[in-house]
Amino acid sequence: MRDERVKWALLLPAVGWILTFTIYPLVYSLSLSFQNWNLTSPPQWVGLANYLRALQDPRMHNALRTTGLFVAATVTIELVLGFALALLFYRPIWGSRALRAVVVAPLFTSPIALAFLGMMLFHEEDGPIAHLLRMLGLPRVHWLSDPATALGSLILLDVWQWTPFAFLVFLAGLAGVPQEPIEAAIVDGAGRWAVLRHVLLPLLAPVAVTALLFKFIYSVKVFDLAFGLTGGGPGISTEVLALYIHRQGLEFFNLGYASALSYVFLVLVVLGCTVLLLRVRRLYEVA
Amino acid sequence: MHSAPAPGAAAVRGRLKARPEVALRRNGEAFLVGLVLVATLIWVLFPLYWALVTSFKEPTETFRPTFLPFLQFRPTLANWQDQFRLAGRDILKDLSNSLLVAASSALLALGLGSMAGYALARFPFQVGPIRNHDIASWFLSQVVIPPVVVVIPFFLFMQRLGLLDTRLGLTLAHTTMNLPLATLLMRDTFLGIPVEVEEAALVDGASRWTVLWRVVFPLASPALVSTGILAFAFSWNEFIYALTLTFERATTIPLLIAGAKMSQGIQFWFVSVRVLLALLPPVLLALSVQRYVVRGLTLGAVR
Repeated sequence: MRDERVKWALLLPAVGWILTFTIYPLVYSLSLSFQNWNLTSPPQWVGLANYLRALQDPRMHNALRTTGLFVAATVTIELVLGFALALLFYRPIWGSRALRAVVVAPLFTSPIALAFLGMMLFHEEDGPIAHLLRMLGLPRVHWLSDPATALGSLILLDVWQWTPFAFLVFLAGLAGVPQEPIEAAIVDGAGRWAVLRHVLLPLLAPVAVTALLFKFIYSVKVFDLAFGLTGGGPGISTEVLALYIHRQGLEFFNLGYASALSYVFLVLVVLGCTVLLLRVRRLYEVA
Repeated sequence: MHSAPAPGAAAVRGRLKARPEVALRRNGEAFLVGLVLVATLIWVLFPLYWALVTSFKEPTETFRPTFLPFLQFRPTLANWQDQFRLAGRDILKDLSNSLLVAASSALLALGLGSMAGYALARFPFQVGPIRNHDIASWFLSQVVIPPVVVVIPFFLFMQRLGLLDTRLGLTLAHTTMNLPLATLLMRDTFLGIPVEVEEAALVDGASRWTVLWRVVFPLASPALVSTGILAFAFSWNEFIYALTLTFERATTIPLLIAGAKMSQGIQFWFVSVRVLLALLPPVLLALSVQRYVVRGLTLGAVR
């Protein structure tokens, strides 16, 4: 009987905290999304008007496309690179322990600091990358000033920061892989690729799914990096969803419209996670 | 997995012996792996090194392709000194704000999170169809919510409560951000401590509180410290809440960096100093809890 009271006393503060500081704001934001409000005049109920506006907003379409590209590129590149590096360095090779330690640094570099660091590195006249390209006789790249390449630069910085995440997750996965099936496959005469494809990959599938899901979630939220490196520019070529919503809400103070956009965003993220989870689960049930 | 009987290790060795080129391939391979290692290390470290080097260069030297202090350029402390002389008050203010907000939000999240984590690890919950792991998943699901979705209502609430541009307001936001992490990692930790240890103490006549303070917390303390350090680092690096909820008195280090754009052009020699100030504490802290990094970033899903 006393345990019954104790357990709720322990759990409820945390639950209450999240209800107060996350769920209540979410509900409030949902109701805001059906209103027009810019802080100066009283709010007005407008029904679904904000959502209809979102459907036709070219800048929203651009944000969706930009975010989609960013997520697809970063997740793919980082998972592939991270997996390859983990395969190379999970054995106790000289230097692999140092590498494990060193890669923690990008992961804990504040993204806004990384953005400014990126401005130094990508400086088109005299940055270190520009110097290197010149030395190699390669043409100049407009890293940040060309709408066609700015998103690529953003992706590159994210790859620098987050490939270590996939690397470390796969290392943890490889450490848990049993040796017997691999040895058995080698004994049976399987080549390296066959072992990788038919033994190692299926064993690592659960870890890969976790890496994929978490990186998807982290990528889709991207804000700081774009805010700092390009501010969404040139033009709106790197204006990702979080950046656009933040602008609508806290620069233009279209609070209702921004709330509607954030609900579209939230639904898409949740949908994305669900689809990923379902598809990927089917994948490794087959394998 | 295989139908034919295993030929045994001897056969494998035989197979290797039958192909003398294997040894050679191994050597070539070691060389390649070493090459990849060096390339990766350079790729990871160069940006950080560049920030460090730039901070010790004369402003006029900033854009020259020189990498080695003493050999290629004369290092100077002038940027660090100027930065603290010109903007010392802002820097110290933002550093202390960052420190206070990160420490208090980490402690708050840790307190609430260990309580909830302990409850979820030790007691059965059942409310209708909801069980312990459903509650844990609910905490996990909080990670999915993009901060930009809640930052607008947060701004309005803080405004109404008079908490805009206060460290308290930002602390509340950061605690919310770190609470799922603390709850899930601590639940994991308590699940790993055998119940028998606690039961033994209870049988010996200790009260629940004594057991918690004298038995459970000491056993959980490494995890507590590591989780707290991670929460501290995440709060230190957090930007979107800080950008929205603070603007002058309660600004943190990430805002100090973001502010560098507004001054006359970007003065990279000063930026590099600020970047290092922002970057070093969380990176060093994370290095001290290396074993927890993956666990922290996947909220306990991968150890």
